[in-house]
Amino acid sequence: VIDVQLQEIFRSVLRIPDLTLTDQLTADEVPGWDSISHVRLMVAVEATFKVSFSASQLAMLENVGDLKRLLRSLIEQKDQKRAEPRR
Amino acid sequence: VIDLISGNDTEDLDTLAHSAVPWLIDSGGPYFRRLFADYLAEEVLNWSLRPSSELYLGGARLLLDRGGACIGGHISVKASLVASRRRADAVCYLWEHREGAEGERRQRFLDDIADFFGVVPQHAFYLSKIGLLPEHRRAGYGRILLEDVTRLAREAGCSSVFLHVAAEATARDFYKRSGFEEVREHVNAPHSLHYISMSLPLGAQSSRKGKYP
Repeated sequence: VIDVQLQEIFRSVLRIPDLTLTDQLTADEVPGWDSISHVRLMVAVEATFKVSFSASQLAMLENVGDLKRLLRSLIEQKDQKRAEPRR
Repeated sequence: VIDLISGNDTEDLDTLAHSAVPWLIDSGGPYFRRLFADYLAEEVLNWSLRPSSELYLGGARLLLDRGGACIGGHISVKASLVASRRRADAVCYLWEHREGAEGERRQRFLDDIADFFGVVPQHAFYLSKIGLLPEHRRAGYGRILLEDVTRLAREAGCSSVFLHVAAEATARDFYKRSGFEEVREHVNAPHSLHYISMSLPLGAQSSRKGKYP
């Protein structure tokens, strides 16, 4: 599910309707994926998945696979918090 | 008397990063002053302390005095890493200032100077920052630092060392005396920025070797 939604976000923000995301894909390989559009992408990803990134987390991302891993771990943390019984 | 260490060889990097700020600011020259304006010291410290900065990624070599305080150093990386490092820095900066009252800082960053320096030749070793606290200049430490840069460049298999220096900087003469050639001029009149690209070919060992024991 993450994969499909991410691809939609990338296609719409970068305005490349036939873009296919692979885990190895890096910004260098996609025209128009610069630091500004990267920030736009991440704002859209945050809003869609209701998570929040720190600047350092974003700086360490090397490719799409890294982003997916980060996203999954943030979603997992969020779900765990929700599962914890209230005291 | 003096020790030269890699940033990732110390557990005390946060403290050293604080003490490195003065020479990092100086090394950034008019470009940093224009980019960060009134927030210069704050932004340079922010940058230094991020886990993504070259200080933490092993690109920094710090010159320590006998008491272990940082009195200067250099930050250099293989050219093939420069674009991705710069993008990571830009992403961090834009992210931290993405909304609200900090929009002015973001706009300054985007205002056509973020890509001011252009591309670094692919086979070069890029000397991003080099500096000394004022009271430690003219004591031969600059040469020690530069020799460290060329040694690392050779070890990395690079064919030259590449840097950008402010046109009016006194360091420009130091680089020329050390064998650097001026290869390109960068002028951004609206922001009063004037920088020179310099390159030091690393083909043969320097003929000056031995002159500075």
